[in-house]
Amino acid sequence: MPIDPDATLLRRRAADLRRLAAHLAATPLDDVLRAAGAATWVSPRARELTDRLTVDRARLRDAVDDLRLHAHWLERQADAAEAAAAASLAVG
Amino acid sequence: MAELAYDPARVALLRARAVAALQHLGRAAADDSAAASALRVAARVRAGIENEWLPVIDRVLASVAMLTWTTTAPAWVQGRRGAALGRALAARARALARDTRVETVEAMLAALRHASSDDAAMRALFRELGPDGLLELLSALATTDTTSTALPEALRAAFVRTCAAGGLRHGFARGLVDAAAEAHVRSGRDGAHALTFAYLLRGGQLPTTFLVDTARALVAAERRFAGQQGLQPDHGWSLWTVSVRPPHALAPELADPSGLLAPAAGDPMYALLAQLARDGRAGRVVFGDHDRAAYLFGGRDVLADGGAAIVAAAATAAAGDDVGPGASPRTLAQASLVASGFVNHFGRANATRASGEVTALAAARIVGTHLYAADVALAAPGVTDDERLGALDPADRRALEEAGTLTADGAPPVTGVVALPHDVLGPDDPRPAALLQQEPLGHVLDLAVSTDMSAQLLRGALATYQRGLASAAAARLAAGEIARPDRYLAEVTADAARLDARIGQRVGHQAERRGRGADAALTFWIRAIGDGGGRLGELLGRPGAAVVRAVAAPVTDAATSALADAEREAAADADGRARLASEQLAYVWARELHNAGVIDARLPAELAPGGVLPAYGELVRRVVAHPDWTMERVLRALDVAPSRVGVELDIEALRDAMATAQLPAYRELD
Repeated sequence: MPIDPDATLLRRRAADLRRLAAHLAATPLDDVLRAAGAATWVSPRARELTDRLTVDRARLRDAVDDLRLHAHWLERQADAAEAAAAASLAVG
Repeated sequence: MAELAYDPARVALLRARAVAALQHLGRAAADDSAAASALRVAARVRAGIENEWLPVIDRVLASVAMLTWTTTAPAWVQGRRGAALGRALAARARALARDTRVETVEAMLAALRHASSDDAAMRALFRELGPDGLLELLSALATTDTTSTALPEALRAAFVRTCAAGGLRHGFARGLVDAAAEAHVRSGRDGAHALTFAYLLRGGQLPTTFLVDTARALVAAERRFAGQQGLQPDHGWSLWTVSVRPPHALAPELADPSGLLAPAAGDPMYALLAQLARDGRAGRVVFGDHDRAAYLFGGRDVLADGGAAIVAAAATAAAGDDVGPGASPRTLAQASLVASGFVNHFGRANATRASGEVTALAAARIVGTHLYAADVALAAPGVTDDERLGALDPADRRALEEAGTLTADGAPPVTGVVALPHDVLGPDDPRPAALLQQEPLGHVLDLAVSTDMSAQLLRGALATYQRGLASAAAARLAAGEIARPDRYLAEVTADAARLDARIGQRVGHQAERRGRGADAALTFWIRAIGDGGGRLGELLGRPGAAVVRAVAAPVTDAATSALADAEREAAADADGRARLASEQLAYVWARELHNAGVIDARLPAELAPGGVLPAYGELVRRVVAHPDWTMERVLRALDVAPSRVGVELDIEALRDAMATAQLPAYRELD
């Protein structure tokens, strides 16, 4: 497969986004929520904090999905650039 | 009896885990601008742990304050259940709207949690409280204690659950709308009640009937307001304008990632549209009404968020997951009607001012699903809407007149679904499709290709559509239905090429508008002509032209790549673009003709296993792997492929004709 500088850059960007997505996905919020159960503490404030962290966890998951979506799109762009380079070789 | 409120050892463990999460988030970093939004979310979560969790944990560990807290329900709910419990809750809730001391709020919260699994109690609570009582209570809580949201969240969750279970009295939706509107005006437009109403709508998904009722009531309230104020009917949205906004505990949920209150936060219509964006059935009822569609798509202001909410709601109704293969004709007709209303109203009034990735993607999804209608509308650029209307089947014309979308004096219809013929299918096989007007369709197309991702989405849908047309034509030729195959193919392939170039031209213009330069965008557009399949659908929602699914043959193979640009520089001028695009498109057609048995390209099994030609990208890969073959040789083989059904076809001539058809659009860019 020929090396296309545009494709290389796109793949590097995609890899960066995937790396960040993996890092954020590994945030141990589940551990926090598990440790914050009724056996640990019980109060309206505790419940409020837990509810809010549950919402934050969902937002973080959405952000991870967005990052992966964007990375996927960059990789497709890279595919297209590389395939075009292959096509030019084939025709030439 | 006081409960033990905490276990010091476990709280210490909780602290360790919170610190671990905090440190983990602190290590999140990226330079790419595409990561900015995710990093903002991470920072916000981190701030929550640092500024809220850890101080509370540390206070608990340092004191015995929590030992005095209790989660047991207050005495006034003990021993009660069902409707009696609900009535007791409602009585306290009404009092709470005037007395929001911490202890009464916490008692109410404990009581609500105690009763939350008692459906009859919840029904009674909301029936007794009524829409105005609910709104009043939430607004009082949010404006007197601007830091705590626990009780509003619990109330909203109970409201959503009860609503979803059908436990609200008929008219509750209208009551909420009217209560919010009246309180908003009565308060001197402080925005508190409107924000509270929007907060309620921003919770869990509400049922279809409730959403439809809310939409009807909201539009009616806005129009009533416009009438009372002597405003134009379309200015009813100004009902929700705000003078001075007091602190409001629920505002952060309606804030942008930056933390600022979103421009549309206090306008409940945007919150309702967000609900509709998750319920296509509700959207089809709401937007299926001609008058309401005209107001929402083209009258009322819906651009405070760049058009994201209205276009997303329209996309779910017109092109959602349930508007696909297997959908009933009724659903497809309703979806087409929404598409017609969206394109004709939003395209005329708002599309040129709409912006943003979400908006563009949703517009691309609508057009990509209704490409048959768009193709027919764009097929004859010199024909006016009046002329198209004049050519309508009398039965369709009567139907439009009866629906009130076509006036007796022959004015163009605003919206509609009619049986539209297509040259590929022939005059005897018209298909029901959205009636789209050319000028607004052009504006919506511009929006649909205004970002890289949306252009890619539309490209995928158009590639699938092009292949569907080629497949349908090949099937008709194979069946011997066409008297003059050469003339038929010349006409339909030229039309297909023209359609591709006309949209490609808009891609070029939009790229220039963004300062990106047309060349790169067009090179992408042309390379991806042969790319049509399922992958984009999995990624961004199904881009396949569902409403033309009868036209589009099943696309089963993963058309994995785009790619026919042999010489990048050659795409820098109109002739080069037209030639490269026609080569790509000619392959799409030749492939379908070959696979349908109309022609026999006589290619070796290494290139066409089982005699079936692959997608262009796959073919390129196979050619690269076989040094005896070049793409040029493959294209020559297709050019001279003999017919299997006794028709003489000249693929090379077709390719030249396609290039000629595309030239005007591409020349316009130079």
